Amino acid sequence: MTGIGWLQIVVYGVALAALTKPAGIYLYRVYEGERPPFARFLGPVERFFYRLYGVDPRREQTWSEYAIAMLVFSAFGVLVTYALLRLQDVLPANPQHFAAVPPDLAFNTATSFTTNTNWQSYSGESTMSYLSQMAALAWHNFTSAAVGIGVALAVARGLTRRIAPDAPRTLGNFWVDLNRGILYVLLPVCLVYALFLASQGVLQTFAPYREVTTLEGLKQVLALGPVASQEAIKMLGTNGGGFFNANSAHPFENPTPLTNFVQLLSIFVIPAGLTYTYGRMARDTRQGWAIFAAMFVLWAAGVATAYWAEAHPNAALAPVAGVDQSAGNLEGKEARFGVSASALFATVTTDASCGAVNSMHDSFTPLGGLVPLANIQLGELVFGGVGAGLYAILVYAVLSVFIAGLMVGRTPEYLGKKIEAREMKLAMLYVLIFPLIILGFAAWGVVAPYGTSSLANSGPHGLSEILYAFSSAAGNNGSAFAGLNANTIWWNTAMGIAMLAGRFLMIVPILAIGGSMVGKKVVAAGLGTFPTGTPLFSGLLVGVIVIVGALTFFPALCLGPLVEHFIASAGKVY
Amino acid sequence: MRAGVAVSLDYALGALFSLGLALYLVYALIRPERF
Amino acid sequence: MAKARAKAPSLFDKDLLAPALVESFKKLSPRLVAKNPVMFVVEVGSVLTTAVLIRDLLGAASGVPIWFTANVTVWLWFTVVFANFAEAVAEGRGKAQASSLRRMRRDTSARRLVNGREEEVSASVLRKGDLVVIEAGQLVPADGEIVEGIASVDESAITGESAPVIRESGGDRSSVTGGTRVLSDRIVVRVTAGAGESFLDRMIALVEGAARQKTPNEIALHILLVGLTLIFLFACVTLAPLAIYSGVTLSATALVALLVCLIPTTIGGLLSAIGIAGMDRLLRKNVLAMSGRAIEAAGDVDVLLLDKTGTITLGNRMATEFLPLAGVEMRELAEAALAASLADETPEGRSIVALAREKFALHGTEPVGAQFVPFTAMTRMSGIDVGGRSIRKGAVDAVREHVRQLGGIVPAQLDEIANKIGDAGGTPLAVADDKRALGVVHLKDVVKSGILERFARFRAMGIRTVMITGDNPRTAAAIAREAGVDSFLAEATPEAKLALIRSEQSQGRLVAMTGDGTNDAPALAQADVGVAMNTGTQAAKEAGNMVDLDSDPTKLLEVVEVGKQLLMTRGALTTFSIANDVAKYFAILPAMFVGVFPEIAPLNVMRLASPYSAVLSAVIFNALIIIALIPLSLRGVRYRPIGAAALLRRSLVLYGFGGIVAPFVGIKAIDLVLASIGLK
Repeated sequence: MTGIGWLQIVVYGVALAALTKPAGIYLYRVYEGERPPFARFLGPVERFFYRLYGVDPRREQTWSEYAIAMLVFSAFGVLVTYALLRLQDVLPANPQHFAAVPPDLAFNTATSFTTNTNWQSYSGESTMSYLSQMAALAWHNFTSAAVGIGVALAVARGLTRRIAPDAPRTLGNFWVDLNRGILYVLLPVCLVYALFLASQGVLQTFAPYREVTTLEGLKQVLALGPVASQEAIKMLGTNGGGFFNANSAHPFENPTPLTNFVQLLSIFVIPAGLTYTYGRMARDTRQGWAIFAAMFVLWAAGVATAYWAEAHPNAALAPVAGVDQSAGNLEGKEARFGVSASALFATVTTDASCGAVNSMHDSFTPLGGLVPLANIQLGELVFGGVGAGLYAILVYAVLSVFIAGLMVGRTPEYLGKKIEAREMKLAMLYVLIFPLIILGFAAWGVVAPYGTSSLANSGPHGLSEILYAFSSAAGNNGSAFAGLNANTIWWNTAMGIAMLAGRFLMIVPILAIGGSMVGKKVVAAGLGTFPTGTPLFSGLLVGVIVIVGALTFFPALCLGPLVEHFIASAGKVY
Repeated sequence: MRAGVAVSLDYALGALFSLGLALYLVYALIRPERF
Repeated sequence: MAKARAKAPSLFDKDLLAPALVESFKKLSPRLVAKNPVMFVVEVGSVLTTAVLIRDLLGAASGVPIWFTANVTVWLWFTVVFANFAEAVAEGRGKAQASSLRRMRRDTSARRLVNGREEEVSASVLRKGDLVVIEAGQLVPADGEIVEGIASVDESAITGESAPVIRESGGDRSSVTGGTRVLSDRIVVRVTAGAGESFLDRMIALVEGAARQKTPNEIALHILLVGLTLIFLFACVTLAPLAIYSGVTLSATALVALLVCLIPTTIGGLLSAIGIAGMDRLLRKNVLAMSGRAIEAAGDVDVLLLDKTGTITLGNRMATEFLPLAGVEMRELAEAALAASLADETPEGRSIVALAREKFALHGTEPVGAQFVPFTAMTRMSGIDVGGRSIRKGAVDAVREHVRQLGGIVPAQLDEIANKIGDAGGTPLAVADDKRALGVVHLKDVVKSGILERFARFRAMGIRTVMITGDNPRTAAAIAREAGVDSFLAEATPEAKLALIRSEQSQGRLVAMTGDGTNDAPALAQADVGVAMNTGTQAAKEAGNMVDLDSDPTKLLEVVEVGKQLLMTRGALTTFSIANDVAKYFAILPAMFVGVFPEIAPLNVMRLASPYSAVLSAVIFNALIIIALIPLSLRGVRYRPIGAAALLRRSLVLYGFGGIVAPFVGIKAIDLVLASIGLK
């Protein structure tokens, strides 16, 4: 660990905190403002699209209408992508003449991109045509992100709105949220962002792959492509699907320390901003900052642990002669970024359900690798995916408020609305589904020959790889502990189902919570009311998240990274 | 061989019990007023 | 006050323990346990390990020592038994109360009036609407309303109050309760509750727990507990395949032990005991709640509406001061006022006599030949005529008119003094001796002693108090200030009361109100928590959702505390239960895996003697903690009005942090004991 290393992390934290309020205000104006910013230029475009779909933007939807619109739209996304991938050999913009994508991989990829996971069972540069990359995949980077933000806002509206008892219990209009997210937030920012990336050396070209002669005089084919445009939304929309297999470790995706820093910031900027937006919607910005604080603490704890673990030599490499580990565990890391920036990237990308990587998590020390795994298993709510992080943590806020309410002897209420049996039921469903997917599939995978045959490592590390894969899928993260060949029929199918369940089986209950909260009478706060805009609440929230997450996954983690750590410390290797 | 069968039987029984309990608990979760 | 039932039996009363013990084994019936999902999982686990034990005893070698399986099995069964025991103890305490109530309900006979003729019938055949006659010495056969007559009634059976109370037809004191005894006179009562649904019946059903329905918060907590149980079921079941992959063989016994230790058995086992004990505690405070829901609502109350008269102030105005006009001796005024009041039996009159005695040691005796002039609505004065002198006291304008008629002159000072008294919330009473106006007596509403402190406690709890009075706003404001209520509703009509409750509710506040009169009934019904006084009318009692047997309107303070305690106890034990899991993981998981992965020994942070003793210690701790927490769950966590945040911080430290630390200590201690007796 070095001072410079810590300084990078601190500077990042400060920059993030500074960006939160402006980003939050911008998002608030886009989604909740009377007149969104740049309405003069973008307003006509927005209205054009509503006319095109035949949507009345002023007509709001109930939670179930919102959920159905969201599901229909997502199903449409899966089908179109599936079709494009299956037909890529006969479609244009395929200079490398890649064959059609096989059915299981096409299903996996279509669900992966629709669910904002961007798990890639394939190498982009050797499987996907330019058309597939742009029309089938990059498109989802925008829509899946906008869907996530929309759902988060719908839920936030449910919690914060105060409506008359006889008013319709609506949460907003899905099509409006979708449109505004893309039009006012994602596209304009990505336009500038992509130009910036290109200026730093990120590729943006339609030229076919180029064969070059290396310094050693060997021939090498360099994969090229329209990278910068995808790179921008990959980070901003917490998608994480790299243009190249090496993702943000690839110099064409992430060429300079500056791009690395900006990429890191762009992962968190929308999720962090949304906490402020939420506070504005609740008419009390402390509510938003309390959520932000809980997220920030969890992030800081994660990055500190990861950096500490990675700055130590890897015990497994200690017996290998000639490996200098004085700078920490550098295996699988870009020397350009070093230990600190790699640990930071790994933490941020798994806190948010981004999944882009600039180092190989598989090569982290057992405890260092535990951090990304645990981050995902907390439920992707440490800032989390765009929108997904906010709605996930709001479920935990509801649970925390419930426990706190009992402990202070008052029927629990959040933002003045009572938490009752129905909300608890939905919140518990939400909390239950996540471990059910992860543990269920992992348990299946580790005992089935078609599950374990994909493993590159046996022993506890293999277990970690499988756990990580399904956590990543259920959490819609998309990063991988490399070392697992997931491009098999079972893996593609199981992961596809895990991603769908991890997205939609969780969104529906949370929207239902929004729907049942929106019509509730607002109870005036009194001395006996537990305040939720305070550090005490942030602390409680962190406690509940950690306890629930830890209790759920500790036995599995025990057999994976923990056993591996103790074995490696004892000098044994599998 | 016989031990192997016994062990598999254990796992099958265990799985059955767990499934039953899980169904019962899910019922208790969605219909709490009946308890 | 002699309250026989106010004293709670000690937590583990000998007479209660033995039946409770028997009951806790009877309650092992799966049909009963299945009502409690958490404990049902434990019971199913116990059955499983029992089967394993039997198989091991029959000689199938499983590689696990039989003493271990046997011990775990026994302690798992104990876990269920202990939870049953907690419930049985709580129910037993309620039953003890109920049986003393039931003794009064011995089948009494009743004299039913049919077409003006009396007939002797059993009380159990009485229907709503029947008329019965009750005479001195007889038991009231059913709840009802007096339609004819007046009687003194001994209600000590329900209230514990030995002094008899007067009950009469019409007005707000017309209800009688089944099981009480008429001491004098004869009354005719219309039955308002048929057999089995009377006040006493409901009371018995509630304290016995038979009529207990889950409250909304209990249902929400049930969902949380079931959800957590499901999560832990996943975690434990999926551990088996993960272990197979890792080459670890898990014994079924250890897996069941892990599951039982993780699921929230502590709160799951004590949940119903907490609810029953809450109802019981309330009854010990002489408040009868119609449902558990009402108690919970009481814990959430934001606004409390109180009648002024009889609640905040003593029922009557009292003379507090003599204010003579210029040129009049105060003693002279006092003497005249005393003379005018000697024969006056109204509370105001008596208070003047008392004040005169206190200030000037005057002991007036009625002069010979004096003639008492009583108060009438026409004259609005009273006094005496003695030896041609007429001494009067009364309303200021009436006295002024009286003096003028006699040819006297009334100084303007009289009105000045009277207005000053009015501004201070008092009532002026002018005194005149023939045609001389002497001065004014200050009659004042006297605020009950100790009321200020009660209201301060309400305020500390975050409850706003509103005084309701028929007085004019000026008087009301003065009394409100003196009593320390937060606001008031003056010149209140029943409609105004109802409107006030509605407007508070529309602003999202929970309103409690106490009342006794029939005209309070709509407001009591509209309020979220309506506490009817036992002295009140049947209509008021029906409309409210609680009845205070002591008829003490500030009793709501205790009701609120019990309501809050109920939630807090559940919250504290839930937190404790979940926090416990951390230590249990550190006991059981290393024990499960250390055989195959000896390197993980450092995870065994408690340095438990052996894998077997580690698992067993955790199971034993898990069972014993239920017993250890029975007293707390019956007594309830103490509520302090220190604000929600401070309260939470306190509870988190005590039950959250304490819940993490306690099992580390407990499990280690049990492990030491086990090791010392050779179980390892």
